[in-house]
Amino acid sequence: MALSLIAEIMGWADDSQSEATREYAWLRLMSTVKYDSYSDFRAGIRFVESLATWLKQFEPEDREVAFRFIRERLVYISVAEMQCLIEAFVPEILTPNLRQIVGQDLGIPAYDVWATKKGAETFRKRLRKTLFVGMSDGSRIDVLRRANSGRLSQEQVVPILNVDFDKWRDLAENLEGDQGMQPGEKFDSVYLIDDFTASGTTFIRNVGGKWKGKLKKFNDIIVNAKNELKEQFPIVDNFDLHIHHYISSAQAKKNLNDRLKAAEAWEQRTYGSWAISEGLLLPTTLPVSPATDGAMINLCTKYYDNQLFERLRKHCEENGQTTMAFGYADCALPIVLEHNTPNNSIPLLWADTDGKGGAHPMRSLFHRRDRHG
Amino acid sequence: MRDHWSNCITHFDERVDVFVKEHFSDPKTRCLLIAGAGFDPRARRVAEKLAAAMGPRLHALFLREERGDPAANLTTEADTNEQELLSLVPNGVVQQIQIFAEDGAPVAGQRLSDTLARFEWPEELTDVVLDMSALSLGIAFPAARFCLEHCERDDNLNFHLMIASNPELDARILGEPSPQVINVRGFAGINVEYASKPVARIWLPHLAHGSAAKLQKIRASHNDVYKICPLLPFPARNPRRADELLTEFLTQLTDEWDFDSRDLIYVSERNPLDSYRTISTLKERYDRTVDGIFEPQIILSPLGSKVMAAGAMMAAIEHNLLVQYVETLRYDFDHMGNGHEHHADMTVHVWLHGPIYASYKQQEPAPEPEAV
Repeated sequence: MALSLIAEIMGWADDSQSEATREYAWLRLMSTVKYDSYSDFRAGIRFVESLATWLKQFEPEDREVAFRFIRERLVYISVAEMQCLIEAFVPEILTPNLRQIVGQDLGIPAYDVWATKKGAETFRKRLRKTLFVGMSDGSRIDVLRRANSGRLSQEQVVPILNVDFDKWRDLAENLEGDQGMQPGEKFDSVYLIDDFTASGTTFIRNVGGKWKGKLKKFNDIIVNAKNELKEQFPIVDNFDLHIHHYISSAQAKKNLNDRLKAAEAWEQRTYGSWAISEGLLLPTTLPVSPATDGAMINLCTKYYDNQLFERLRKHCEENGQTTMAFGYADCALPIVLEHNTPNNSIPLLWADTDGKGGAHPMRSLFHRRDRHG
Repeated sequence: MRDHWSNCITHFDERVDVFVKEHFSDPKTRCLLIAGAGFDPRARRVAEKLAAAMGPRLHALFLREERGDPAANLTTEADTNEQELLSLVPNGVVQQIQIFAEDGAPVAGQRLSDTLARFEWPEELTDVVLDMSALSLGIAFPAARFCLEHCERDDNLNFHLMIASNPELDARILGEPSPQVINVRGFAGINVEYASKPVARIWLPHLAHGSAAKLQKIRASHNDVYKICPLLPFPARNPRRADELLTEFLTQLTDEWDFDSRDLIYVSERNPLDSYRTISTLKERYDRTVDGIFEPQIILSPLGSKVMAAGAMMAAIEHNLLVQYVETLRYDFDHMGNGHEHHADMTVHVWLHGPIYASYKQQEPAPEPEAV
């Protein structure tokens, strides 16, 4: 029934050799493999039903462009794909970084670290002295812990940014008491882990000369905890900071680099060296652009309700934006994550508005749970 | 013996260049490079890096795969590559390998084994590098197994895999499949013909652009497959590549293979250790599941990216898995790439064996007590 609904909306002829048959097969496969598991879908109204609602908002002559966009441009990161990115973090990002650091400590090439007992033991200790902090629900620290059971200690992983003083004391006690560690031993590296960055803005930004974002918040937490706990605080001064996103856009990577360089001037900076990594770097060609997506760009503006901008006016203006037709920070991404759709993606994918004042009421395909209202 | 394999030393892209300069510039190193000398534009990438760092300390065995009726332009390009390789590595020799016998039977593995057995290995080698970039699966896999066994007999001899990978370019090289499904030489898996228990097969086809006909032949050669778990590239340079392959294989997946959508396996297009780890985990779990009731058999068909195939090869060696493929009668190469933009090669280095792993076990943390 749902597939017939799509055929009716799209105007596909209903015979066995038709376009409809091919598209039905594709819709069935992709719904099952990927789209039906979107976190906002519910029994009875999953991908195909949501697609019907979404397509109906467009005038008939625009529906083919919208459907082709989903078929050929949408990047949907499924649960299984996200799991791959989480599982790859320790072997593919952390381990080579640690080998590099241990190699520098011992004055040997990184690839020689496991050649001697001394190198291997230094590696093991350095691994234990690395702290992992989840920056949001999307960092999926539970999955990261499970994937590295036996490799990472439960006592070196913190699922939330807001760590209280008791937790800091616990972390210190457990580290000092671990195999081969000495009293007063401290963490020397910290990994801040998050799921996705498209603009880098949420992580670090400067608004009117004032620094904001998750990194500033983390730095403030460290400053306060150090002041309170003194020698009991379990992280060394000028620790190595690593910022890892499971997925990053090329634009965000550049912005993060630029802003972290600027933030080196912070008076109360707690970290020393810093590095940025990601599990999947989205290509620079991914954003919707006039050169490759002219017809879809037209739909983004034709069916745009400026209420989106009004709802986020403060954030948008901080960012120098005058419209939300192409998403936050004008990122124009065609990306959907299984647990939510980033507001940096084109709003036609995620926005629901009521069309006040004669505007077009936008209907989402993948409804976004928005922190900003 | 190979505890380190799930965590091998790897380098990627510009880090490979740094590694080559650091390790191979040492005047104590003497290296044998084994590589393809065919038409593939990637044939010279690794040799260029090694030759620049090593000069006369580099030796090479270049394998030229000969198929019955090659396209004239590809023969010319292979001739050019061969000449360039020999000028890069004056201590190099070229050996032709006939992929098919006169009666049309695929004999690549046998001919490769004969070639390697006859080859006079240079003395006092410190390193062996197998460059899989321009070698077909039927040659690269047996060559890897031969070299690994040779190197593992000596604790001080290093064995490396190197690959110049380019999935977009792979998609432009199309091959006409031969009629026969064959086991890769040295990768026949355990013999289940006389197993005392019924055999439960899992087939892991790598979905790759243009390989549907080959995979169809392999699927048709088995009438009893318990599960099909297609392998797809993710993460990938093109984040839609897995979706595009699902679309290309729509008919097989929805109508012909009796496939469960929960059984898709995603492995990295960039890091071969990801497919090694994933296939190894599947093998260990599957063995436990059917233990005592069925004889487990995992069949690999790594027809796609060389990087994913290298990981599958490691898993096949480690767990003695069956690797099946269909040989290519004739290649065609779309030089223009249908107007698509140029994508740079990605380079991968995997250090499979050597003294660098002597204390690998020491770095493993003690297991934590189970939570109550």
